[in-house]
Amino acid sequence: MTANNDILLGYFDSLLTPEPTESFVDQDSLSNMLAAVTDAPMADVYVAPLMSDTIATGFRLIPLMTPPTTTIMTTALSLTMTFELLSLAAKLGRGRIKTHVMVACAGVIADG
Amino acid sequence: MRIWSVSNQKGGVGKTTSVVSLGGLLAAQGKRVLLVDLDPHGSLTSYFGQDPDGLERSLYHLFFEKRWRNVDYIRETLQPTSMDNVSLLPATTSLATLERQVSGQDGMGLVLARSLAQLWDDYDYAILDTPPILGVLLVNALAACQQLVIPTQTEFLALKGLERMVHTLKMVMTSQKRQLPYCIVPTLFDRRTSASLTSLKEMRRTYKESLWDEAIPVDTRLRDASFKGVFPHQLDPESRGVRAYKHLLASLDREEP
Repeated sequence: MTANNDILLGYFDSLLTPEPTESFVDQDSLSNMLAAVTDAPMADVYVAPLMSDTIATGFRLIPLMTPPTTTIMTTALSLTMTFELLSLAAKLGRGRIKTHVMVACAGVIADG
Repeated sequence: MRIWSVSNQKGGVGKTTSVVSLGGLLAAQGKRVLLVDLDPHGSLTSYFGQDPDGLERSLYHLFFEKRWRNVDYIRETLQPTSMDNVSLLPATTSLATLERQVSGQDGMGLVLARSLAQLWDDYDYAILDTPPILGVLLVNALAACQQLVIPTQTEFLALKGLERMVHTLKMVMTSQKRQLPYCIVPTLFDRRTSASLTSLKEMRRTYKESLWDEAIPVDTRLRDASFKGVFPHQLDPESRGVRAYKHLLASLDREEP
């Protein structure tokens, strides 16, 4: 790789790496999502959007109602946000949302 | 929402014309379309009669104070066009100062993606018109889009710009660890000139797999439409340019994942 490419790649990395201090998911959002699915039958959970149905990170975010895939997670999540999510998920009670978030985070960490 | 970026690091290749033509044709199919002007020159904004020097709100303001989180703010920034189901997120000339203002701030390449995420259910398509220069605005477009359209004028100097654009794209894909499909679209093709024929032949030789197999011809009706501030298909649905863009749209739709 040339020095010019190194400079450009550093520039792109800087622009495309979320600020470490930014928080895109808060406790209320996850709690609301959890509340929205508590009494819903499993079939509905996979069809109906939950809240905004996404966790905002950048492009097509994570549809929480569908089983996450490693590919989507890798493009949608940064490691910083992954750990942020994990710390929030740890405070949630057992449930599908918690499972999905944990699986999503595991996918990113495994891939990263 | 599907997000297409129309980009090339060379100017005058037909980016804005492509954005307007594709957006208008999608809207004619009943799709809800958002056109986004990321060029400080504001050509797309001017196209629809707005003044890039006089607007109170524009894409520029979404880069500060984290206003992209507020969907109402973004919606209020949108401007109408000559079709009801097409909106414009306009540019102002202040965008030209963005590079200096956001320099060194991590994550500024993701602002547009996050803003569009707020409008995810409002539109079927967003089409991005980018500046002909590598910088924070172009990076925002590449980070946000799911498909890249690279209009390339069929002349020798444009081939160098194309080479640069593809190089930039590959580096952004490396940085983002994702693949971004792209389609090179020969534009301003004039079969009477050897420059057009030679450069098209060279494009086919070098970029065979990513090159659209037709070309957008030179068509004064496209220029007439911009003068009147209407979509080209509204002015003349049977013009050569509009017919070519219909073919391009069908081709892009076929390639959608």
